[in-house]
Amino acid sequence: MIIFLQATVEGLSLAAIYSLVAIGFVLIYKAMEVLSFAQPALAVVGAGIISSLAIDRGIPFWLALFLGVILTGILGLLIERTFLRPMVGEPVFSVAVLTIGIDILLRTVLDSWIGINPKYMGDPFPSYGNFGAVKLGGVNIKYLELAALVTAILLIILLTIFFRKSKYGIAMRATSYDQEAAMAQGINVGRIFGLVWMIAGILAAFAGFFITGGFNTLSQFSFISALRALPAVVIGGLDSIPGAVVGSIIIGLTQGYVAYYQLSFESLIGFSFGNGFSVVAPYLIMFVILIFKPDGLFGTEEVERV
Amino acid sequence: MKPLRKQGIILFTVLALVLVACGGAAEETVEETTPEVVESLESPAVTTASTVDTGVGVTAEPCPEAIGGVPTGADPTKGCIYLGLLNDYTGPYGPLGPALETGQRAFWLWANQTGGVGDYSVAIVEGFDTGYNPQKHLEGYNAQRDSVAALAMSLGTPQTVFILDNMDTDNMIAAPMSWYSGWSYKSVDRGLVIEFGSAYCADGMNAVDWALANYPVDVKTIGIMGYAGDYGGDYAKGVQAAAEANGLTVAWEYIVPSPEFDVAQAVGLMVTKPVDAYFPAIGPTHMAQVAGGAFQQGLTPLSMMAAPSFNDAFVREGFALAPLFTSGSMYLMAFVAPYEAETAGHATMRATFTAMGIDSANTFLVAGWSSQHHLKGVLEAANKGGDLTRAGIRRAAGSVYVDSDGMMPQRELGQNRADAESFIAVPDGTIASGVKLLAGNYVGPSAGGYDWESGPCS
Repeated sequence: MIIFLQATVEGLSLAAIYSLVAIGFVLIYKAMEVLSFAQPALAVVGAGIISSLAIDRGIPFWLALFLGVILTGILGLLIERTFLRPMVGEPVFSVAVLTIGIDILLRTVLDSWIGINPKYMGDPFPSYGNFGAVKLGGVNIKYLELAALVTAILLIILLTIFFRKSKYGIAMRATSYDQEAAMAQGINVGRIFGLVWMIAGILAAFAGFFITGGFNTLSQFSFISALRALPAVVIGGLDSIPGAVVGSIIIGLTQGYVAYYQLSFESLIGFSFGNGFSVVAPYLIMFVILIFKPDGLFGTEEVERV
Repeated sequence: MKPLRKQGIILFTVLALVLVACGGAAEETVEETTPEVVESLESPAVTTASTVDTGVGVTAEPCPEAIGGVPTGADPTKGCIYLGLLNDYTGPYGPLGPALETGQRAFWLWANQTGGVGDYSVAIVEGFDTGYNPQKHLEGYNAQRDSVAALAMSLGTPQTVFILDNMDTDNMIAAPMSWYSGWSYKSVDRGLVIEFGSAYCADGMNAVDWALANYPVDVKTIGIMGYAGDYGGDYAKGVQAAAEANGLTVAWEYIVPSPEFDVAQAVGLMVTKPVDAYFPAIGPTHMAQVAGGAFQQGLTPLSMMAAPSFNDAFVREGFALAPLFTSGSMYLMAFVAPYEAETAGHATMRATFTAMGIDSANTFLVAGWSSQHHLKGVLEAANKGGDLTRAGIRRAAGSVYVDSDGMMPQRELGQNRADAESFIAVPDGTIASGVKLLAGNYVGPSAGGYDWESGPCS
């Protein structure tokens, strides 16, 4: 039971991080129908900014975190204004490839800054409890993971309120339903696009911090963790925020349970799935779900006249 | 934009898989069997010619005074032997390239100032950025092949394997920047790669033997984790061999390509199948996450890290896990003895760096410097044999004793037998290099009894 709870905690904390990346992706897709592959890069760039401010410039960590998140949001806004805006109306494939280019560009610049040594975030989490962890009823809980869970839940609640109550949130929803109708109602769609990228950047920066915080450190390979959020988006449905969250939970828990139970299960059935199965398993689940729900669990079904 | 959701999902899925598969790939596995080259290896080291034949990359004109912003120390009255440089300035190992190159240029500055190679000084040409990409590696090779006598460095195992056919055709030898056990065997390297330092496989064996002999806790059960198709495979083979020889139980092996390495699974294995010791051959970031994750779960098994798993940042002030890495439960196998080692070669290196204004004890500076020692021995042997053509240099590499002023054990190249010695160190934040040498040229019973003439470990 302890092992099960431990695996569940690990899985949920992974899910929290994945959901931050996934929601950013869905927001962009809903507003612009753009497949953005730049989210993982934005996540690690956010972590890089936080590290640079906290460690290199000696700014207190909490202020550095705040500034890093805001600056990454502004970076998202600038990306939309400079790279994406001219691509409005262009084929989906072209825009998707452009975002891959942005991903490579951001990571190349970041990698040259990272250099040989991993970068610290300067956060206080590893100093809490037992190197950043506390045992509750035999289950080991990391403060950083707990913070990721709480942050993800808070951000999801805030986003929900924002979309339902605020002027710009309602405008974003209108834009996602029908851009032309939204423009006819006087909504500045271009501004909405920029706002969406800014929010996606902010979410990515939080995810980047939770991936690299504590003793995880930021290295040239950190983005791979953020990349693992991508199947969550497909599972949930490209245009569904609840879907992104549910997809992230499925991916996170799958990874957690496989990590802790693969060996025992293999001994039980006398068959080995091979090393690295915990990373492959989410994709297998994705394939199975897509067979039965091609639009994802919560994605809007597409109806085409033939 | 048109609503193309289904197409979008398909496109997204495919691109996501491609990105995951390719993202951050540290090393690709290139399995290649190569026909053994049968040569007549008359050692030029035992013949002394009065005239020297020269070929591509060897000129009667002196070397430039400086290349790459670093003085060559060349004697203006001597000719020049040019060496190629296939380095990384971008890509996953891009950050290491400049340190490696500085170490290599510093070595030849010292070598040229102390006599060079016969009537020649030696200069490394401007480096070519291969970006850890085999195709770019070949491009760089083709760009340099007509102007150099040998390669001062070919960085990466798969990359070097990728250009071996061309090197074979051109009789081009190279100093590697990897410690694959196959570099000691002609069945793999065709006598073209001038290995240096301890091989990962021998390190794996010696790590087990040293731990059993020196660690205060009785080690019965072990785990192995590493990057497949990279140093992890070679290291794991060594650990497996020593575990078998010592009757240890291997509770688990977690060996996957680096992009697929899952920290949650690695920690999960340690939690569900606790071991007395584990032997990681992974990258530094994963190392910190695994060691820290296990520690948070109350697990502090003995850890014998392969050299690439460690980074001196682990023991620096400000890193949360520094107390863990210096707790006495974590050790590492070093490529070569660290910066502070007390050998004549190390003293020369430190003095040269100081004279050049280099204020760093970085491991990769040491690796760059030490990689050139054996190459220098080969060039001196070729010169002594009167043949500085590439074929002559290759012949010299096939049968010659090389040394390094004590930095590494004296070695006879071309013997189809990997060396068994290792350097064992412990992380130490009070030392500039971040590691303290515990045992140099260590050979445990497993490595000592292993049939090294049976071929490469992996």
